[in-house]
Amino acid sequence: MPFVQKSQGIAAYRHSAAGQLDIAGGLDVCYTATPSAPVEPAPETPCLNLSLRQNRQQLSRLHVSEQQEVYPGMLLAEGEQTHLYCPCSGVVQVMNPDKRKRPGNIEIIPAEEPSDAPIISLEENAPLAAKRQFVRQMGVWDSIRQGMLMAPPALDDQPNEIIVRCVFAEPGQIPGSMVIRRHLQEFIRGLKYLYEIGGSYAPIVMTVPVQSGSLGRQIREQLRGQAFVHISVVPIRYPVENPLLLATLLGRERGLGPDHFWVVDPQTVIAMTCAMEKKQFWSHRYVAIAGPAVRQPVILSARLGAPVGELTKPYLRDDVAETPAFIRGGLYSGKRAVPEEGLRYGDYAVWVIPETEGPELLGWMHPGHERPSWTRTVLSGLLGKRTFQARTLLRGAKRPCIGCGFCRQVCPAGLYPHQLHRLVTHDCMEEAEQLGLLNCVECYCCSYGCVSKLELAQDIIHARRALLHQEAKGL
Amino acid sequence: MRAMKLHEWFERADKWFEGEQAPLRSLYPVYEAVGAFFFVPPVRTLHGPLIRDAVDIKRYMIAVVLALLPAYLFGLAAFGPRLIVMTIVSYAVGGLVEALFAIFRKEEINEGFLVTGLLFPMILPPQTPLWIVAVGIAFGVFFGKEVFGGTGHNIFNPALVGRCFVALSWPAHLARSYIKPLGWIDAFTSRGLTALVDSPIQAVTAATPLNDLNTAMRQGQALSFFSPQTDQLYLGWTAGSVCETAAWLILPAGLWLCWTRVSNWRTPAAVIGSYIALGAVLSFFRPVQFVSPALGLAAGGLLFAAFYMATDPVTSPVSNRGKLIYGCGIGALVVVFRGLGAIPEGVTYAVLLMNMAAPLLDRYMILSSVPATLPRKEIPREANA
Repeated sequence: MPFVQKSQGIAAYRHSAAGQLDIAGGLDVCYTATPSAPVEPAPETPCLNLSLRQNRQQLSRLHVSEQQEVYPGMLLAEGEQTHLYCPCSGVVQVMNPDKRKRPGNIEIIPAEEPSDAPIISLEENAPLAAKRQFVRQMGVWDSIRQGMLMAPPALDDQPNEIIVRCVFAEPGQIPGSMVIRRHLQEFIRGLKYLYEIGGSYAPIVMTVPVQSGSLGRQIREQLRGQAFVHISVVPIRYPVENPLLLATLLGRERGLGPDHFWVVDPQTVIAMTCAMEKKQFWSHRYVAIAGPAVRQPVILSARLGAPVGELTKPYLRDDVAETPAFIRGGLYSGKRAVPEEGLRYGDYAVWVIPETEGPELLGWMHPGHERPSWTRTVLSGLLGKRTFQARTLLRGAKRPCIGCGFCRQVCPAGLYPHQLHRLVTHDCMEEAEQLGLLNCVECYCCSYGCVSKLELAQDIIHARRALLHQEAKGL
Repeated sequence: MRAMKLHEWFERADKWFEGEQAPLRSLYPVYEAVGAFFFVPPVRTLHGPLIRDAVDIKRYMIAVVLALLPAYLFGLAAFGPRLIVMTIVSYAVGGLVEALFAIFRKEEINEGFLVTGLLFPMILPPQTPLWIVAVGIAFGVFFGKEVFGGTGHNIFNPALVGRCFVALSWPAHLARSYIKPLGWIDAFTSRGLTALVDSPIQAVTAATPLNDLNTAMRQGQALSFFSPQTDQLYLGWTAGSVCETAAWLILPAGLWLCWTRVSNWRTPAAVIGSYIALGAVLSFFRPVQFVSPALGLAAGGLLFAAFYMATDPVTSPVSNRGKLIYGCGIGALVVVFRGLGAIPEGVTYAVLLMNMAAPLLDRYMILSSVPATLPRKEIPREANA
């Protein structure tokens, strides 16, 4: 029986007998409300709130001013690599570029009548650079991720490989299958355009779940004879969608240099088709609205910058009295958001969770049939229950680290988060780097499982980004 | 309703303990510990992930206490209700030291003491004088834990430090504190309730099986692999420390603890595995010196230490390979101490010695297991200037 454990690269992973890849570590706890509902149009929002911080970059060069009329596809602001295009026609209401005031943003009041946007054309045999520029103007390029940096690639970038990740294991994320099923033909054609845009004959690798069912068969049939697309089977286990982890699972090199890959989501592939064929600007994207404060999970077709509070308002339960907690992104890696905050690049989900109220009497004695744990000290572990209700509760008092090793056991990158945390909080960055600080995949599993309720991931990620930033500057 | 009233009471008491001006602010750690016992603080998560695991330190430690209960109840039945008095003394004195230190350092009282305070009386002989229990736990908590900086920073298992201290300081007292199972009934019939607090009487003391084996082997008797004593040893119906005798209860409870993932299975597996392997080889070649592992496993505190002492998260390595080496070290040292040492039992010293090696093991295992760091561009040194 072939059983290979590789510890090189990011994840310690093994090939099971069936030839599938399995993550060592990671979490497989599911929360309710992974949406499977039909797609609905997003509720009309009185304004769009476009953040000037996208893809972890500050967009410092502004191209519009207050009271200026804008049209879809107009360049609003740009940063080092990221560009922000206007998703609708309207008027710029407020400009608040000061990044010290949160959120630094551009507010746009959408016009009732869409204004005429200048038509951008693309010739049939245009050179690669022109095609890429066109894709950028259509708002698609900035959703492509360059593996290591998690930022859009430069226009002259040459990837070695393009990974289309169709498996999302994080609770609440839109299943790739749902998007592909709705737009199967566009998706298949989009892969060809992606191959064209990628240039330099970079092959495309598609990840599919272990049991992909009829959709998997359809995709395979459609792709028959297309040698540039490879299909790779991955487990549905968080954080399998993480680009760094994915690259290692697929056995690829990862680096900052020219030897690297792109990561593309199914929605981007479909938007690519719309851009190339219909010359259509990518204004609406699918966003899942989920969480215990929502009556029923839905998928909305919403604009970039739509405020999360307005988006979720019609779907909130009546008994959620106070302002609930909004999370942009998935349940583990998502960020807390104020209701006015708009959707950003890469936000494919908004979670709404009721805020925790009041203390819980003898909470640590609770049998735990409805709360999840990585350990089996709760009843749900005994009952084999898999779905739980999310709450914004720390579930315990903060204590010093006892070295229980739970963070180590769930870390998909095979790191020792408690040691890293100790080092970064004492500012020992060199030792932390020796222990693989840069290999952290930012999945937040360690914080989730910490018995002492320490903010392990928060501090480690902060230090890691500072280190990456420092290196990028060449200091 | 009652819960809310209790909470209101706590909220009213807040002004006495919290803040710079509060009159009783120095007692805040005690207040916090009591409050956190009754109520899980309604702290919201601000950073990712906004959801958290249901387990906290209290639940973690209570799982260990639950796993200790079967052995505790057996000890209660076999060696009498004096165990309860010993436990009360241990919790009271140890808790006092812990609380004083928390107040002195202005830190929270740590729940780890729930386990230490219970473990300590469980590894003492049943008739240990109460003053020894008090001195032992105070020494264990103070020198085993607090001087290193409190829970999470200690090198040695505090309960074992206390045990080691009393064993070295008052060996004669401890040696005559062992009694036969149900020997406590004799003590109670002759002396009444005073037997709960009195020092042992000579009439009921007994030798532990390891002592018996040691004496037998000194006299040149080679013990066969399965002697008539074996079944009694596994049933726990022998003299010994209060809760270490019942192998048939310790084993399933310890396995349950491993199943819940609270303790890692690697450590007990390595301790027991290495003890059996090395013990089998040595007792095969030198049967008059080394006890066969079939007897030695159930005699003395080996199983108890393997499941509850060696798995202490603070004092054992974190890395999986480190745990295996650490466990093997304990098992091997126990064989050596029991076979070659001057005293019949050596589990305490074996665990304490390997505690010392744990940080070193961790260091090497972590450094060797970290994957190569990311390929980075070489930055010329001049660029730094």
